[in-house]
Amino acid sequence: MADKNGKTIEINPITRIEGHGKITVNLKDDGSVENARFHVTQFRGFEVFSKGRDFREMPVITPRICGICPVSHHLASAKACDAIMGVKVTPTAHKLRELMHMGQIIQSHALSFFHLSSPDILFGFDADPAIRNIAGVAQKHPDLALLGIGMRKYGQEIIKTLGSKKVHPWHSIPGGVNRSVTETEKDLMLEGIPSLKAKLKETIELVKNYLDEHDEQARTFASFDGSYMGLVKNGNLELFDGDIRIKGPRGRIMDQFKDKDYYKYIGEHVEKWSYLKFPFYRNLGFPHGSYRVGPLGRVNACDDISTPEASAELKKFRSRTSDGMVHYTLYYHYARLLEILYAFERTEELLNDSDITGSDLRVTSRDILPEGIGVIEAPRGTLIHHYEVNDKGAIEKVNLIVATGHNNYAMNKGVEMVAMENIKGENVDEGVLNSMEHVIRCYDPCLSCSTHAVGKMPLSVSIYNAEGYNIKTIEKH
Amino acid sequence: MKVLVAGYGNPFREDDKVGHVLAPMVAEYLEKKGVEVELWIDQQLLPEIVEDMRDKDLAIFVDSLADASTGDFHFTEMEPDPDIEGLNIHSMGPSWILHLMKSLDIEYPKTFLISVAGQSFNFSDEMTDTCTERMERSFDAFREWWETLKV
Repeated sequence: MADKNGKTIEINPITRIEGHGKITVNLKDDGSVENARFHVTQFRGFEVFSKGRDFREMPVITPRICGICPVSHHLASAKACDAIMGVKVTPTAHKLRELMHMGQIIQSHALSFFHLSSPDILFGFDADPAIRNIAGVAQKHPDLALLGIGMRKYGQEIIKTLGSKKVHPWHSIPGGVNRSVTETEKDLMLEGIPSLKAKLKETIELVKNYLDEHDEQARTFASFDGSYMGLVKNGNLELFDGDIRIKGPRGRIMDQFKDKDYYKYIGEHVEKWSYLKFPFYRNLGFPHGSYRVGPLGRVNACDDISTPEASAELKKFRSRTSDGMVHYTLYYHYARLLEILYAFERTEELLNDSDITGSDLRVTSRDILPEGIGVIEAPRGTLIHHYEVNDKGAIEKVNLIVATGHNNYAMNKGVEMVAMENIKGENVDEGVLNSMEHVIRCYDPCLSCSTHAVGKMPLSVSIYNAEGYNIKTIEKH
Repeated sequence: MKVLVAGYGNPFREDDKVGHVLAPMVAEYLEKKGVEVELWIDQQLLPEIVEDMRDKDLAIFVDSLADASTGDFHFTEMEPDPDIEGLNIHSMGPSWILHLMKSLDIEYPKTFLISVAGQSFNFSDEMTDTCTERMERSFDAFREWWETLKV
């Protein structure tokens, strides 16, 4: 609707993402798009109210940032606490933490693809919103819906087994973990993998067919050549513990550094219209040093994948371009499924490792070092926890750089590209609005995490005319 | 008889915690009656709960109610309903879960919702006295109802 002040397009709220935000579209005199911005409008302040707490509480406090990926915060926080204590956890503790992380990757990626994004792919961006949801998927493609449900449940059961709860579990402690897995639990987890993995591979084929059938759209939708960041270990894709690598658009490794040195390489740009910061690679500055993270970022940043089936699929993924670098935003979904495949394989490896049922769970230390940094690959991308403490262990400073922040520039750029291509004047059909939302959905952002938000999180799109007047606002609640 | 008892809500928002408190009471009561019970506690309902419901003869959901004007508590039999409050999976209720099961052609159990009206939903892990008293009366009512079933 147009407000009395004049002219704007606003999408508010954006739906089927974790969190809420707002899109504004500014028009030129001729009604074409001048620019479009994706705003994140909540503020939480975990970095502020954590001050003064004992650092050992942080693995329990910080997961409350989010109900979708609390495990990621739990683990990154525990790693930062290990660093403050100056300890290296035992092999059993390390593998148990990674096992929980694989459960998190499986359940979160399944949520993103099957529950949130697959309706757009299966029914089209401009399909009736009444069917373009998980219930619609259940009616038209019940096998796919059941697979999503099954994968979510599988991943959550791993988390619950280790941490007693599916959401906000408690398993990692500074210096280790508080329990192992039994042989029975291990066997149960192993038992579930083959059938889910087989069906996942069918879904990967389905997505590849979709990308083939919509080849032009898949290559152009909000796509741009850019840089990518992700953890690697021996050059391979790594989700839990490795070096941070930044790779350029043509595949050149621009930098690779230890996680504890992240701040030497990564800066944070601030815009007044968003609470979400814009991280960038310092050597190139903002915005040229912007990069993408998450599934597409990781599979572009790595050389290979250590597990055989995911490695084979990565080769197919890369064969879609002449230089192996895939810049297409819709391919985030393909990369996401590829990572689920890796997570299943890695889960099998971990469960078949005798350390996983070990009893050497914790290393203790009386040392308190002045700072600790913990970095892991959350489902949505690289997650950094950085704490500074006093000599009593009380938190003095906290910096959290979350996955959604790294992708902030890319989400803004993608939304603007779709707006420029599809919007002329204030009349925008629902399919175009949903396309703009889908750009954001590709990145699977979690705005709760990224702004550290309270309460409901819908999103709005506003259109402003050349004079800066709001001419239209579309809100969804 | 297999029964799923599912309590949900935010345990750090005062009376929104009622599902977390009442569901275990219901589950314990049923277990003492010799019923095979699966207790499910979480912040919110999600599609995955269909997997926990599919082999049950009865499902009992326990949630808080923001509006006390319609009564202190309700005991309602749920039917499949495609309407979802809001736009995302954060706000689905038991009737939508039944709709999902129906869509998936999964046989769903007879399902009831115990909803207890809350008085306050501010930040705290303590329920208000008013809601606690309503919850206890709802539990009494549930037990009376169960006895009439003669399971």
